[in-house]
Amino acid sequence: MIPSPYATAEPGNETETLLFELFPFIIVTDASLTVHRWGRLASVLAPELEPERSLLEVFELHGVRRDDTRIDPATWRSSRPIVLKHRQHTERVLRGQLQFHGDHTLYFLGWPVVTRADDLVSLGIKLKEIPPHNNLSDLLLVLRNSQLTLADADQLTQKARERSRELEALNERLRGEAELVRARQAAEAASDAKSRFLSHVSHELRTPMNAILGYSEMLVDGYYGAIPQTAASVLERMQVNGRHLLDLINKILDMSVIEAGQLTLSIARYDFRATCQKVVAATEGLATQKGLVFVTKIDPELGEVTGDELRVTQVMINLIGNAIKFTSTGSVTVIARRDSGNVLIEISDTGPGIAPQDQARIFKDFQQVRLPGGVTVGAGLGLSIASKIVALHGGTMGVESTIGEGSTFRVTLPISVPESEPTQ
Amino acid sequence: MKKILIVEDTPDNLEMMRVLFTAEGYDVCSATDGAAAVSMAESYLPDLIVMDIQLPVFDGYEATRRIKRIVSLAQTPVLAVTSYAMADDYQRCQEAGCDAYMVKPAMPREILAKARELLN
Repeated sequence: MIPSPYATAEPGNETETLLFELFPFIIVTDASLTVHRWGRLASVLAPELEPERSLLEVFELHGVRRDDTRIDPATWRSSRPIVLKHRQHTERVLRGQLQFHGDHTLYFLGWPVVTRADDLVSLGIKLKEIPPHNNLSDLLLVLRNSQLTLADADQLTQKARERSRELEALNERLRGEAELVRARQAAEAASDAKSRFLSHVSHELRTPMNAILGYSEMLVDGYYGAIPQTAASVLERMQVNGRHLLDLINKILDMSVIEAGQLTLSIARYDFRATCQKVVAATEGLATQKGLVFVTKIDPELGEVTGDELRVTQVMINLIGNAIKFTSTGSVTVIARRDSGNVLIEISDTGPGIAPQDQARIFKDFQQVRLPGGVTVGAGLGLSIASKIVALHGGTMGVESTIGEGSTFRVTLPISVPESEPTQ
Repeated sequence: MKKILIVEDTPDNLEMMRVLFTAEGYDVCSATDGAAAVSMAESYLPDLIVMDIQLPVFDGYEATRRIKRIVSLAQTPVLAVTSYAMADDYQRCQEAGCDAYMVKPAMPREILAKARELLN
């Protein structure tokens, strides 16, 4: 087999269609010069073209002498251009319309293109420059004025090589795209399987969690009799840890729902200021318990917004919860105000800060914030879920942070969110 | 004394609710699959049904649909307590005719509060 720099064309495939489009004069033959297929203008030039007919025979009809052709299989395989001289000494009528006047010499230029393996070759024929969108009368004009020199032939050959390279690149790209599609399908299937698995696991975990949390609460509430003070504090710890575990299960479920594209927002109008106050009320205690100063600046003019109140609450609690969790001294500040068509929420802390290389990473799945000393906390899902919820609202979420000084998470949410749509 | 039918196939969770509701002064009866839930509801005529969804024979959605078709039970509130926590699970409960919906783990205090609300 000959290694070919040319594109592979086969009947009806994209490469051949493109070849015919670029070079409408192409005649596809095999190495014995038996005609197989041709481009639309080739048949205008040579109406005698027929499948299985010899190309030389067709050329002879057009005054090409066999000894002008210099065509032999070795030439074809060389991939060098083939020039056929076509001398017109007398007026000649082609197809009743195509007329050559006077003494013209036309050059048919051909270049072999290896098509399927090495058994088929194409002969491209071009006569000087053919204007784009040519019709028959344009073509006639070009043919009449045609004076193809060997320099032109070289130029055309150069162009042909370029086109071939383009076709090869196109082939390469098409092959690459097919591979990408396959890879993407495989990745999607894997991601679906993962989502189903996470969803299943989280369902399955709820049943035993129900018994663990339920019984411990009933013990605390005295349904099984009085319990000693020491046992009560142990039960308390069991409950705190149980709720933490439940929180993780819920996050895993959220994640699997988001990944499976099933998370839809329940869009409704709600009072954003009231929501902020609820969030503050729910988180303030955690901050003061740790001895942190909890500062809130909630603009009284926040007004009503549309969106999924429950999900937005979840985002704010996650961000404020993180700020409190990672800050050991100083303050946590929550600011909410209007900012043109958006509401802007800023949650700042005086915690350890996030290194620049970590700032983009933390919004991705399962990426934990690493504290100084290498300690990691949490499952690395909260921020990822939060950023997806914000994105579903058409909002933005970002972080600014300096190591040792603290972090500011900034969320913008449009005041008005359009119809809810499943995530994709 | 108000009667509560608990439909639950996990022994620990069934036992937990039995202790809870008995201690709170309710008369308690139980079923551990969908078919038993329907026949038990028909003979026992409870004031409230606490319904798990994932059940043998047929599930809690089907049991609720069948119960709601029985004239003497059509007005009996059904509280679904389920591990199915997706948004469309809630919708399916509603469509089946459940009057309220709680996701497991449902804490005893919350179940009790919801049961009292439905019984009034």
